[in-house]
Amino acid sequence: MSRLDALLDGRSVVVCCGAGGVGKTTMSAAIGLAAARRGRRVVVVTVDPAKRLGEALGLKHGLGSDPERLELDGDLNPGLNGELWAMMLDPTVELERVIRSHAVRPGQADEALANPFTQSIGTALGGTQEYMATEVVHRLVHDDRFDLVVVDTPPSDRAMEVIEAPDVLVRFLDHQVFKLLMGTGGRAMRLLSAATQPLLRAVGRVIGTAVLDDVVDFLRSFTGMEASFRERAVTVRRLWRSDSTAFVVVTAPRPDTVAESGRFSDQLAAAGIDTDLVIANRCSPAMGVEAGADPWSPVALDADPVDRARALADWAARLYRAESDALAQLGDPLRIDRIPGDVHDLETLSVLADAIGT
Amino acid sequence: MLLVLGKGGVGRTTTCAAIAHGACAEGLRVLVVGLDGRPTLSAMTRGTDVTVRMVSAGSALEDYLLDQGFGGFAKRLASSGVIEVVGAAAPGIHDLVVLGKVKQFANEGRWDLIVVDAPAAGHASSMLTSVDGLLDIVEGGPIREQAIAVRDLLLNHDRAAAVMVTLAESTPVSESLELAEVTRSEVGVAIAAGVVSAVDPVRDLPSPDDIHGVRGAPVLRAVLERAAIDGAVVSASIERFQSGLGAPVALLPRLPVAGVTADEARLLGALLACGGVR
Repeated sequence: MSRLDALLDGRSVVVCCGAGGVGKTTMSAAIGLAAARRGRRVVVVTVDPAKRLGEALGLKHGLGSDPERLELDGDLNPGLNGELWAMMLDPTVELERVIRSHAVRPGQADEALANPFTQSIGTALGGTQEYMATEVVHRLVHDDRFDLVVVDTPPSDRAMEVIEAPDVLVRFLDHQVFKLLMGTGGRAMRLLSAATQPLLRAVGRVIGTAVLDDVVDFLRSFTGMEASFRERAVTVRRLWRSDSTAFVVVTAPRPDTVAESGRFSDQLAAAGIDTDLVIANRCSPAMGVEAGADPWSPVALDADPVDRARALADWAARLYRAESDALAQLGDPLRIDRIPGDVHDLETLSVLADAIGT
Repeated sequence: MLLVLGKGGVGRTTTCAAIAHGACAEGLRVLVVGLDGRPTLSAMTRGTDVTVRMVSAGSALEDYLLDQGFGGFAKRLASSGVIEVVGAAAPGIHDLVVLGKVKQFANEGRWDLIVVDAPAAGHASSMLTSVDGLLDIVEGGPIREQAIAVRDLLLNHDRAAAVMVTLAESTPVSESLELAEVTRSEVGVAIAAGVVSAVDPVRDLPSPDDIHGVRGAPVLRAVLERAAIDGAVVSASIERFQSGLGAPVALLPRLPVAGVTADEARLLGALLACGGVR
């Protein structure tokens, strides 16, 4: 059984995390493709605001916020009997979908969506992406079309925010200030002028009473939906820590990226989550040359061709050695050599799927 | 103030350190502001005259509350979890207070140059648009004043500009150009320059046919053949970045070492000061 088979065995969710620029999105797509080859019905969802997934899958028109099934070439993907779907999280669309499907009274969804806060929260403000990731994962896990959800997260710190979003939401919904805002009658201004609550007054002073008004209206427009928000957040929080979810940390062989990947695994561990597999992507290939022991120095461009070739071979060997030394700190990562050029379509993606599957 | 912008892993922090060292060598008083809390920036400037400050959303909000005259109350607010609630209710506020902190450094007058190591692409732009987003929803009060002050600094082309960082690869170049477009057109920040970091020495190489009659010739030819494939991507990417950015572009070499130290960052800074490698 290959390491990828072991990773996928009994899993319904694979979360791909890692530092920026390591090829996380491409690797998520490759894991999805490799799983589809093994008969799984896979959906890959990208939570990263970068539009990389559509490109990696060779989609000219980009990805939509609904799962789209990809046509896979049987020649490039021997034994293919599963399905590969992909989608990109659009926080604005997802927020509207959530509000529409969980409204508890007629007209509530329209009211909530008309609030200026709701309108800007999905587009202009950071942070919404993370909450909506919880919602979309919940939706896909309960969608019968799929038996495996591959989640492509934003880079490290933001990935932790995605993973911890359900906890933050539950804490928020349980917080005394939130309950106070929801529980008192009338608008915030009235509430504030009457408020003997220093905490609430303080919030008003920080963000301005007009904003507090909008926030209160915004939160109130959700009245009656809190329980279902909370319930889904609790489900996803549990899902992250269950045996059916695997966490993959994708890293590059560069020393600072390796260090960041190590810290990220520690953060996951602190949140009660094990790292199931580390994939070192885009490693320099071993060229069969010994690296020099003395300090490195560049070679002149007008040097003899043989000297320049030797200098390049030495440079490549030094790079390979620096990468191997760095990667040793992460235990025994699955090492994937850099594919020359760029992964930009399903053909090159299938090369990567071959590499991780063996 | 230079905002150094680029997706994670493109060498943004190394570029910040190189710019800082280059400017420091010219006699400028330089501050580098790190926003992602990673220790690499300190390692690349240790034992030099470059000052480094780390700013996090939590500490910036607390500082902001102190500045607003909340006094000891700021601590209580922080410990009571209200700050978390404010952050959850108005997510852009974190971005604003971080930029507000940077603005404060800029107005102190203690530095000739402030280099900001800004976070990864998609989020860097959301960080900058958060200021406008808040202005749309906040009609008055301290947050609005802060947002206006930050916007005025960012949009002042005499005081602030962005440096776009990329790798010599196809996707990073596309993403960096997209980010440059958003930064210039949507946010309104000027683009001062571009930097291609970690350029491999794989361009203008001798032909594999020139290698014969020496020990290890087959291996050397294989190395050159592989480098030629990489070199084509590197050259094409650099050209596309240069023609698309609309600002001067400098190249920095990849050093075959395990982690860039202060010495190496200083070397890169000296290279940058004379225009980078060819």
